[in-house]
Amino acid sequence: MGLPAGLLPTRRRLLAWLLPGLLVACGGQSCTTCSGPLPPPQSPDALLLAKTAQVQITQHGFDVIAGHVVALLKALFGAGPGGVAQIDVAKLLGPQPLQFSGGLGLFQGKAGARDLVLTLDLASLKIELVEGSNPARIRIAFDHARIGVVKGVVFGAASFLGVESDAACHLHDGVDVGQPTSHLATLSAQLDVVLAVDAQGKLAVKTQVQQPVLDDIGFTLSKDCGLAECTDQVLLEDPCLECELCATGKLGSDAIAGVKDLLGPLMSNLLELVGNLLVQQVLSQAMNGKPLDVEVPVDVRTLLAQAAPLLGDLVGEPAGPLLVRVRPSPQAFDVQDAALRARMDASAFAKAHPCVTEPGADAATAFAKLPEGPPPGLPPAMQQWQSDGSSVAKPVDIALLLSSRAVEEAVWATLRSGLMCASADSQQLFAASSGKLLVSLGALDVVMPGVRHLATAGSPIRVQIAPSALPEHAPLVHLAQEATATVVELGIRQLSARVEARVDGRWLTTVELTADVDLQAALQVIGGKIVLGVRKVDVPHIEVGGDPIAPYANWQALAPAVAKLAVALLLAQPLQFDVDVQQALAAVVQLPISAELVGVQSGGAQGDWLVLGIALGDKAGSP
Amino acid sequence: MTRTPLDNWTLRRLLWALLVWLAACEDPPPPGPLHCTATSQCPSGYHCTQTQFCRGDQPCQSDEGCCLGERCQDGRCRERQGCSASASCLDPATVCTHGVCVPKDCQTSNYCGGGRTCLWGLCQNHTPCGGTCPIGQACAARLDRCVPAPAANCPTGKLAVLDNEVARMPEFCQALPITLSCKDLPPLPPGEIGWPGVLVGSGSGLTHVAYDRRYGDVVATRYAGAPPHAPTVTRWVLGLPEAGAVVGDPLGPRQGVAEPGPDVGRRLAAVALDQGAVALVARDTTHDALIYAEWAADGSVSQHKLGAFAGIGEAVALALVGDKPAVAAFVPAAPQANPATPARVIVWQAKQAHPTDAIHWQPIEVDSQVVSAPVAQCGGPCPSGQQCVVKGAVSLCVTPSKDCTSCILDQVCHAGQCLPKAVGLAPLDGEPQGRGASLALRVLTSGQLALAAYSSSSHDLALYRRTGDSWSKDLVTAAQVPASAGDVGRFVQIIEGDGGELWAVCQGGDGRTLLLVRQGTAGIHSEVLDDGVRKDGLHRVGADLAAVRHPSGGLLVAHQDTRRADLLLQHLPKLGQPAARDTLQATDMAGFSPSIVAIGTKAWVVAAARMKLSQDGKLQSEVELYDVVWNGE
Repeated sequence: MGLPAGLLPTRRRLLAWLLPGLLVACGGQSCTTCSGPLPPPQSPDALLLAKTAQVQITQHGFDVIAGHVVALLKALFGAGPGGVAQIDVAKLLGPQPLQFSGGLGLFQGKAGARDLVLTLDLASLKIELVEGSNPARIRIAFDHARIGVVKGVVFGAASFLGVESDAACHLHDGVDVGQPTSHLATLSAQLDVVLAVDAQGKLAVKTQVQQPVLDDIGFTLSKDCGLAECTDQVLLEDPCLECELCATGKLGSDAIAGVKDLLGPLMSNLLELVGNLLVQQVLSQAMNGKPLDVEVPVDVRTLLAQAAPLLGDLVGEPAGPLLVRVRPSPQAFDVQDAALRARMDASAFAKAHPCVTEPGADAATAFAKLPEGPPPGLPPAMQQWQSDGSSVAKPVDIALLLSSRAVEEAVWATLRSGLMCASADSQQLFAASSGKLLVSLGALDVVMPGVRHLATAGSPIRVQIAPSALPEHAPLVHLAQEATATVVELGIRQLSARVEARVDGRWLTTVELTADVDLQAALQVIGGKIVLGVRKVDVPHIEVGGDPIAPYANWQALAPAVAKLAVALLLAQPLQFDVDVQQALAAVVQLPISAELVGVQSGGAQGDWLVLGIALGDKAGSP
Repeated sequence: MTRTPLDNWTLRRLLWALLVWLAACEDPPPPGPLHCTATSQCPSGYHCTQTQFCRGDQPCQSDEGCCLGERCQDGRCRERQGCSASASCLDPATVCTHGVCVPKDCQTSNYCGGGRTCLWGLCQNHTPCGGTCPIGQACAARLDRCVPAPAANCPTGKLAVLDNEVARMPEFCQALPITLSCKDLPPLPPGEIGWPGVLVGSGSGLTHVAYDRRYGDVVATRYAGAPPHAPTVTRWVLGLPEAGAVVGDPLGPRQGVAEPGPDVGRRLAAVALDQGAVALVARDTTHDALIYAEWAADGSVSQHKLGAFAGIGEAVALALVGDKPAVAAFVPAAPQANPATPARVIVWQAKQAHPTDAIHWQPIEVDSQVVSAPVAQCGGPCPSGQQCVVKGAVSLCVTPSKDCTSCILDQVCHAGQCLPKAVGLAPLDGEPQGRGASLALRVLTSGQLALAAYSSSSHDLALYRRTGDSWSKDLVTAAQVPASAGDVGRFVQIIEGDGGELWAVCQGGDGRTLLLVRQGTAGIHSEVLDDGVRKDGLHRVGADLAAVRHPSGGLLVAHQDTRRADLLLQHLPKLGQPAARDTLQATDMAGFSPSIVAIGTKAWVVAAARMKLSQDGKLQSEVELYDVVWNGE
């Protein structure tokens, strides 16, 4: 999907921000374009916080995916409804004949096989996580799967009546002949898909095939004078005489070994081929072999504007996008506690906006020093809330975990970007309140008597907010879990607020305040959307700075009321972020699986991890 | 008027009392002063005084027929009973005298408190009697009213005041003669002077012409040319009523005239004329007129109207072409008037030196700009069933839906989003719209007149040069000025550049930067003189600027930091070099209307207004002068 230049795919940016694991490869760009080299990250390496983001696929989620992978495998093998795959070897491995190491006791020297079409009974196919594996292994196992022959020709050199010639026979099952279970052999094999990261930081998904074990081998041959090898006309009286051995010849003692020689490598090649096909089919083309150090520019302002159009108008134009970067941690993928884990180092960074008073230039170590507990165990299920207030328990199939360090750094970067350099003038407040709130210089005169002398009472005013982004202020965020919501407490320190009046062609600052603002918000997932509702705001500390026009105004008393009024006006309506996890999943795997957000909660010993739960299901309309 | 103790009035009263006594033989008058606590205890025709004695009634028709401490009630003089020994005055600055709360006596203002001053021995919060009484009357200062006093006759600046006011308050005051004295009128309260204001070098001194926001006048102050530039004389030159009574010190504010006149000077410009005179042009807001005036060295003022129509002079500029003044004025657009009128820039060129009448001027409309009226939200009413909402920067009609979690404040739910209803423009005071909202006029060394006009609607700057009777125009758009952020030219000042270039120093970047725009044969070039970036974040700079060139080619710009309301001084030694910056004034609200006058090759005087709000809500303003020395490096 191509996008116009300058237009950021914001929904996916949010996903990348919140779901770093899912977008590591695609980088938030269209997957048709991310096959090329990604631009080098702009954010400093020093900001990367080790193992602060995780994606976990639970056993339940893996089972959902594995079910689809089995179906995909069967489709790859061309299995019919009974689960028996038909394998046209020539189509899979090429038209060149296969060689036996021996002559099956029939042919002189080496024999070969061609036009081979086999069946493979996939009923015993299993996919499972290899517990404790690091790098993570996903095992595809065949246990005595029957291999049958639909058709096939064995050929080789033959000597008949002293005449050297070539000959060929049709190959048939030799076990349980005439039964539904007739077969050529049974196969026991393991195909491991290994998830690893190479030295260059690229995702290296490899397949490893354990030596197949063939048992229960038996075959029969039949003569067909139509075969090219049988029409040499060595003996004019009986041109097909050299292929008589198919009907009369006795198989040598090396026949079984010969079949093993034929089928063993064949099955190994086949499984490896299928494994590669599987990886290609399941993983997005953009994933494998691509560097996983990905930086995604997130247009937070547009996100906010989509969540709350009013706020979108009022917040500042950032100096640049929020750069969310993830790269796999060393030994990123493992299987622990029946869950497939991808652990990543993450960072958030933004170009400093000049409006930010303290942009925090040296933030390299501030967030890494913050205390952090181990990631929490995943809940088996979360309550999924609907907009009508009802809820239902849903299993967690995929969980995205963000440590508080990562959240802290993301908040810092957002502050630093200038997004919080918000501005609201009289006209905007009037429009935002549907015409109910008109604050002009005349109203300001109530707080600062005499200020109306500077201009007319109907002159507009403007409130400007500029944050400080000192990393030393961290921790800014505190998470706590309630029964139905995750409480997010955000403490913004040294927020600068200016009240300006339009005075004869200029915005003149009437008062400049520095305040600490504590926001408490409830974070929920409702109807598949992330909903952030501000519950309350406190202004625990405030001081008048600069050279105020009216230094006697009691801002200590007024500011909290003004802040509450602003929150009541602008944030009374919860912010709703529409997170399209389906699209995110599609960017990583290509399976007909649906995904939906289930819930969000804080976890960990200190409650310092944010866990986002996703449930998987069958995609409607998928085959 | 004085009377003897037994005049006709007394005789008439005694006779009346005798008749009453004869008519009521059964109720003879008391043989002596009768003690009482209420008038009902007194005989008919008597009343009980506050001193608790029955006294005979004094007939009257108005308060003037009674003593100062009495009032006329039901045809009889009665003591006022606003206060008493048991009911003291609420205002601590007053004292109860003959039933009236009157200002306390004092010797110094420190004694008074409460913002009162000691005036004529009394704690007053204003000049008694408004500072004037009709002919034949004098001021009873305690009672704050004029009373008949035929002998009252004081020169201008003084007021006839009763000296024996207290003695004439109780009844039988008629027995006392009125004594008067002429008291000096106090100065009117100080004005709020300085913004806008212009400093010009006039003769050997300096003259600052400024608007007085308190009285709506134009005030001119002369300063000594040498540091510390002591003020020598201040006169209110425009905005006084034609024949206002002098009720304050004639040497003080408004020459002592309190009566309001037209509001003149909210927009003004000034230049120095010969022989220490100053020419000025100012907008008369009351009459929507443009006034040209000259203030001569002898203090005389001549003035006349240049034009009178709606909005004229919302921005003005003044220059001297030879000895003939030229005036530029902005007439804002009125897009919602019927019919709509465009913004206009008009230049009046005087045909002679010292013009004294409108016929001495040649006006020409240099430019005009049509300004569109605001478009109605949603382009007009929405179809039935739809509502007009705001989404992003646009308004659009939508069909309400019910798929929102919660919408507030009349928001409309649409497609899962709560959108605010579109409302019209708030009833706020807007700025004058169109080309000319900021104006500058300068005579180049070639004698050519150059004009700069900023448009508050298209946010660009037009530069004009006059050749003969025609004007050439070059438009400087925001797109041509990289740091303009969509807005260039506000508060423009023009100066003569190098190689025939015209330089415009102005504000840009939506009020955030100070820019230098150079217009010449090579096109438009611009430089950022101050980007407003400071350690504590972004400041907005470049308001109310003034700019001059250093003889060595540098540039000196005074401007206002509107975040801190500081007066800044920018030095640019050479083009392309970074400009150095000084803060001239950082206390209170400083930096309004700066102007720069050279007093030497390397010395300048910068004048600017500084204001502050007092706790009682008054705006205090003063003009401050700063000496600046810069060698151009």
